[in-house]
Amino acid sequence: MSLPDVDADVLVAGGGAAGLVVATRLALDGRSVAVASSATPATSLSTGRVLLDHDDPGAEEWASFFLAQFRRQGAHYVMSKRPAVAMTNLGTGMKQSLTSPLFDWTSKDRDVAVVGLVGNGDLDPDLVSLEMGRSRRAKPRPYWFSPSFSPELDPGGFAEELGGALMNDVAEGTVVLPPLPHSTPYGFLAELRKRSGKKVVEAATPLSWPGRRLQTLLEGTAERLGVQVLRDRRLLSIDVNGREADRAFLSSGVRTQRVTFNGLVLATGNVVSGGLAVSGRGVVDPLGLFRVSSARASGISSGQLRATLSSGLVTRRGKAVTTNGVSLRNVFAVGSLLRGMSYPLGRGLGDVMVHAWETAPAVEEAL
Amino acid sequence: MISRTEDGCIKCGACQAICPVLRQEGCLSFPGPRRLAVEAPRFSRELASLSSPLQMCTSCAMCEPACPSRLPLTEAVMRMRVRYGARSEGGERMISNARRYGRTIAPASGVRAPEEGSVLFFPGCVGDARASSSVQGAVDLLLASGDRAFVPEQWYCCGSPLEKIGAHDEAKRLRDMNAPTLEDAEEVVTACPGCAVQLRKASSVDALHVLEHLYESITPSRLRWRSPRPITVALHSPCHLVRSVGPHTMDYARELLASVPGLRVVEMDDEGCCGGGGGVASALPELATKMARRRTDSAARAGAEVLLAPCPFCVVNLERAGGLEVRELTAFLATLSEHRR
Amino acid sequence: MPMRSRVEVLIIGGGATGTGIARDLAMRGVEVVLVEAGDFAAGATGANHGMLHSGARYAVNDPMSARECTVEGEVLKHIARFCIEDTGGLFVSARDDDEGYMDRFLPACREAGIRAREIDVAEVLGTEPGLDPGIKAAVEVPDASIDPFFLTLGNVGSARAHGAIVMNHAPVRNIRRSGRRFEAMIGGKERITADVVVNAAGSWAGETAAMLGASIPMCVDKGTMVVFNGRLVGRLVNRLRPPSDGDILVPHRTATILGTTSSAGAPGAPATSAEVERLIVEAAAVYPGIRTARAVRAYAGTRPLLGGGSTGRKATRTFQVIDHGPDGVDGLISVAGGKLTTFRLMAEKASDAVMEKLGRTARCRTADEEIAPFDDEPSSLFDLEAMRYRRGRSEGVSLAPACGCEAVSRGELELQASSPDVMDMGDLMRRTRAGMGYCQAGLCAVSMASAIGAGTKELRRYLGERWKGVEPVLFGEQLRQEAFKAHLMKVYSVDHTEAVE
Repeated sequence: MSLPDVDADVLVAGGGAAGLVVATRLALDGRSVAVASSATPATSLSTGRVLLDHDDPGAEEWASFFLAQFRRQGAHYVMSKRPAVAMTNLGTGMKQSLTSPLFDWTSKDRDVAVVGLVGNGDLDPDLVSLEMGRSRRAKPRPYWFSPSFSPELDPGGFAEELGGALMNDVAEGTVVLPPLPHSTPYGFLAELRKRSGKKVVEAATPLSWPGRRLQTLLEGTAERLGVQVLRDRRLLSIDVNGREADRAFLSSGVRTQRVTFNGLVLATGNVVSGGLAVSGRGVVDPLGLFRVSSARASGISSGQLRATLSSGLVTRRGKAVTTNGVSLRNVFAVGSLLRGMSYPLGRGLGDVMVHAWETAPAVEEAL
Repeated sequence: MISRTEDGCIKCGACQAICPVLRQEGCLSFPGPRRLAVEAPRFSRELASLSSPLQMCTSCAMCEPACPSRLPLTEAVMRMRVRYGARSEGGERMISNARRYGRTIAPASGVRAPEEGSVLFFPGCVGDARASSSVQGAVDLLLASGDRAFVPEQWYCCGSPLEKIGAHDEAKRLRDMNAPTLEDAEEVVTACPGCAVQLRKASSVDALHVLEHLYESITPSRLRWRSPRPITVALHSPCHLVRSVGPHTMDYARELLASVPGLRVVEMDDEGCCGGGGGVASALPELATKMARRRTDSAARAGAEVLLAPCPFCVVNLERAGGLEVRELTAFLATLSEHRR
Repeated sequence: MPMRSRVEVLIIGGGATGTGIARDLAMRGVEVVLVEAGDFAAGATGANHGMLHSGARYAVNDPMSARECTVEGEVLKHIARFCIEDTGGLFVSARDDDEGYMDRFLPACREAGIRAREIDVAEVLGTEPGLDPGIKAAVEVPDASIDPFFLTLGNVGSARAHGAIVMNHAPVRNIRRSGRRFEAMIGGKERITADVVVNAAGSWAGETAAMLGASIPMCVDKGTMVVFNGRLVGRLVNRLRPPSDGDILVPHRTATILGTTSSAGAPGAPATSAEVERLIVEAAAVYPGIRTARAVRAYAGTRPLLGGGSTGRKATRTFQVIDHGPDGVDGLISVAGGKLTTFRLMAEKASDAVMEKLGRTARCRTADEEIAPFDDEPSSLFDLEAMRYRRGRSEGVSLAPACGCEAVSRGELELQASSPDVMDMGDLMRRTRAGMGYCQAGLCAVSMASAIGAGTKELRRYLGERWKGVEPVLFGEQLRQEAFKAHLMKVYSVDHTEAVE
C-alpha cells in the first residue's frame, strides 16, 4: 500500500538541528528539499544552549542568518561575548544559564530567590541554592510556590498569581524561575517582571526542554523557506544503485511512501535518537547499510561509554561509506549520527549546526 | 516476560512532556504515559491504585511519535487497563450490544445508500449510531464524485473497541462475520480512523480512510465545488487518524480544503486531543468536555467560524464542548459539492 | 544521640545478624549498643540474593542447613511480613540436566521437613511463560522473596524501641581489654566500655576478632548477582541440579535477581563482566529470554563462611557461635556463617551465649513478636501505596514525584532524609529504593542530593558507586540508557562514570 511519491532535489532524513540547518541552506540556494522526521530529536531534549566560536567564519554566517530568522519569529535570546566564544540562549528569554559549568552565577545580583514549583521536578531550588551559595557569588534563598493555575494552560493566570506572590512574599530583587513549558508565550517573562517588580530570569536544566523551543524555531525557519517537513515519518530503507542512492522509503502510519531524490543527507542522530542502534556491546547502523566506527575522544572516564558515544557513521570527504567500503557519491551525513559529534564529547549544538551549514555546498556539488 | 515497552525506556521524558491529559490535569492527578505504561507494570502489589488514573488516558498516542525508543505506549496502557482495572460500565454495555446486535452501539436508522456497488462504504458503529449525518455526508460525496458507492445490508463492528477492552473472542467472532462481505468488495472505504486501521491489521482488508480515497482514488481535480459564501474554518487533527492511519491524511485534508473556493483555513495555536478517545467520553465526561473545550476555544481564538474534524468520534465529543460549530469534514465538503443531490 | 560510655553489651556489625542480636538482647532487657562502620546491611546482608530459603537447595548436600532454613523461613513469614513477598518457588530441570537428581532431591527435602511437591511441567509452563518449554521436571517449594535492607532496618527500629542504641557510620577504630571489660574507640571520638562484646561483623569477623587477639577460621566466598528490569518470573525459580552458578532467579519488588557465583574474593571486589556473562549463559538453559532481557546492574558480596573445612560451594552454610573464652578472650562472642534466612536463629543462639556470660536468665522472644507492623490496608494513590508498602502509611508528605522507577515521592525522600542515620545518598537510597530502578538514579540523583542537603561532590561519589555496578552490564538497552545519562549528567558537569574514592 503506498502513498503518492514525493520527489525532491534533496531528501534530508532526520529533522533535528543538523537536518534542519542543512535543509534550510539548500532551500536558500534554490533547491527543493524534503525533511523526514520521526521522533523527538536530541535537539528537543537539549538545553538549547549554543556555543559558537567568533573566529570561525562559518559560525558568523550561521549566526547572522539564523538569529535574524529567529527574531522574525518573535524569539528572545541573549548573546554574551567572552574572548572567542559567544553564548546564545535561544528562544528561552533566559538570561542566566544554571547548567554548564554548574551553577555558574555570573550576574552581579547577589540577593536571589530561587523559585520551586510544587509538582515540577525540573529545578530543585534547594540544591541550586546550596551550590550557588557555595560559589560565594550569590546569596540565594529557595522559595517554594504552589500554583493554582497551570503555567501551561493559563499562563496569564499563572503570571498574575506568581507575580503577586513574588511581590508580596519575596524580598530579594532577583528571582530565578524553573524552566517554563515550551509553549509559554515569549512575552511571559516580561509580563511577570511587570507584575512582580522583580528581575526575573528563567533557568534551563536537563529534561526541561528549552531545546524544544529551538527546535520549533528551526522548523519555522525551514518551512518559511519552502522546505517540506514530513513529520512522524520513519526512514525504512534506502535504495542504492552502484555508487548512488536514488530512492528511500518512509513510513507514514500504516502506509509507506517513496521519495525520489538526487541527493540524500542523513541526520538521524545517535543511539539515543535512534539513528544508530546498540548491538550487544557495539554500535551499528540500524539500516545495515553504512559503516560505523568509533572515534578518538575524551570527556568521559568509561572507555566503553566513550566508544559508544563517539561511534557514528564513517565518511570520506563528507560522503557516507557503505559496509563494503564504498563511499556513495550523493549521500552525506551530519549531526550526532557522525563519528565524534555526540554531546557530551563534542561541543554541542553550535558545532553541529555550523558543520551542517558548511556541508550544504558539498551536497549541492553532488547534485 | 518483560515487554519491549518496559525494557526500552531511557527516561527522556518526551512522552510526559507532550501528554495532553497530563499537561491539563497535572502529575498528581494523572501520572502520564511513562508511569502507566513503563514504570507501573514493574510493580506487583500497588497496581490496584492505578485503575482510576488508567481510565483517564484518551489513547491519543501523542506519546508515541515523541518517544525516541518508539515504544508502543498506548497499547501498553490499554493492556494495563485490561490487567488491573475492572471493566467499565461502558465496556460491559459494548460487549452486551455486540452479542445482541453485532455492534458496540445499538444500530440507528442507518445510512441512505445503494446496497450494491463497487466501493463499499463501512460506516462503523459510532458513525452509524451517533454521527449518521457525517456518514451520510461522506457517502453522498463519494456518490457525487461518480463512485459506485454502497453500504452493505449487513455489517458488524470492526472489533477495535472490543480488543481494547480485552474482549478478543467477541472481536474475532464479529471479524469472521464481516469477512465474506468485505472480501467481496472491490474497494473498502470508511470515515472512521479506528475502523480503517483495524480492518487493515486484523482483517487484512485494504481499507482506505475516506480522505485517502478522495485524494488518491478520486483525486482533488475530479471534485467539483459550488462557490459558497466565504467561510473561515479551522481543522482539528484527529489523533487516531494522524497517528494510526498516518500523518499524510492531514496533508490530504489540507489540500482538499485548499481546492474549495471561498474557503479560508486558519491555523490553531496549539495541537491536542479532543478528549473523546480511550473510553474517556463515557467514563469521565467532565475530563472529555474540558479537553474538547480547549480545542474549540483554540479554533475560536484563531478566528474560525466552524471547526472541522475528519473523524465522527471527534465530532461527537467536540460538539459537547459548545462554543463553536463543529462539523465532520467530509460531511461539510458534501454540502459544498457541485454535484450534490 | 546520647552516647553511653558504659554498657553491658557492645555489638560490632550492623547486618541482619548483628541487628537481630541487638533486638533479641534489648527485648530481654539488656543494655545494648550496636556500632556499624558503614550503613546497616553494608556487607553480605546488603549484597545477597533476597531469598527466603525453603532450604531445598541444600537438602542434598547440607541437610543441617536445609533444616534450619525451613523452620526459620516459616518463623520469618510470621514476624517479618512487612518485607517478605511470599511468592513460592520452583525447582526445574533444564533439558540437559541429569534427571537422576530428582531421586535424591525429593527424599532429601522430606528428610529435612521441607514441603516439596513434584508438579506437572505443563502446569508450570502455564504460570511461567518465560521458562524454556523443554524443561523436564518441576518441584514446588515454599521459597519467598525478602528485602534485606528493610529487614535490617526493621530490626534496628525494633531494637531501638526496646531501648537499644544502634548507630551507623560508627566504625570501631580500636578495641582492647580494660580489666574485666572491653574498651572501644568509635569513630575516633566516642569511647565505650562493655562487659561483653559480640562480633557480628560478617566477612570482617576475622579482622575484628584479631583486634582482640582472637581468631576465627573464615572462608570468605564471593558471589555475584545480576539485576534485571521487571519481574521476569512470578515465583523463585531454582535449578534442579547440584548447586552451581546461575541457578536462581528471584522476583524482587520491581526487578529480578539472577545469581549466583562462588569464587575466592575479598570484600569489596566488584562484579565483573565475565561473571555476568557466565550467569546469563547458565540461566538461559532454563529461561532463554534472559539473553535479551535488560540487565540493569550487577553486584557482588562476600559470604562469611566458616573455614577449616571445604571451600566454596561445598563449604557448610550452617553457623557457629564461638565463645572465645577458651582462646583467652573471655567475654568476646563471635557469630559467623549462616544465611540470611537463619539470622534470627543465629541471633538467638548468640544472645543465649551472651546471657550466660552476663549471668542473666530471660529467654528469647524474637519469634513471638512482629519485627515491624504491616499495614495491609490499600491506599488510593500509587506513590502513597508504594510508600505505605515500604514504610507504613505516611500522610501529609509531598507526593511530587522524585524517583519514577521506584515510585518514590519527594516527600518520602525528605521524610527519610530527616533521620540522623541518613548521612549520604546511599543511606537514602537503601531506605527508599530511589536510585535502584532501571535508570540507576539518572533522574532522581539530583532530588536525592537536595533532600539530604548534599552538593555535587556527594552527587559524584554516589553516581560513581552506582557506576561500579552498571559497568559490567553495559550492553543492550542499559548501554543506551547510560549514553543518555552521560548527556544529562554532563550538563551538570558531572562525569557519572568516574570512580570517586
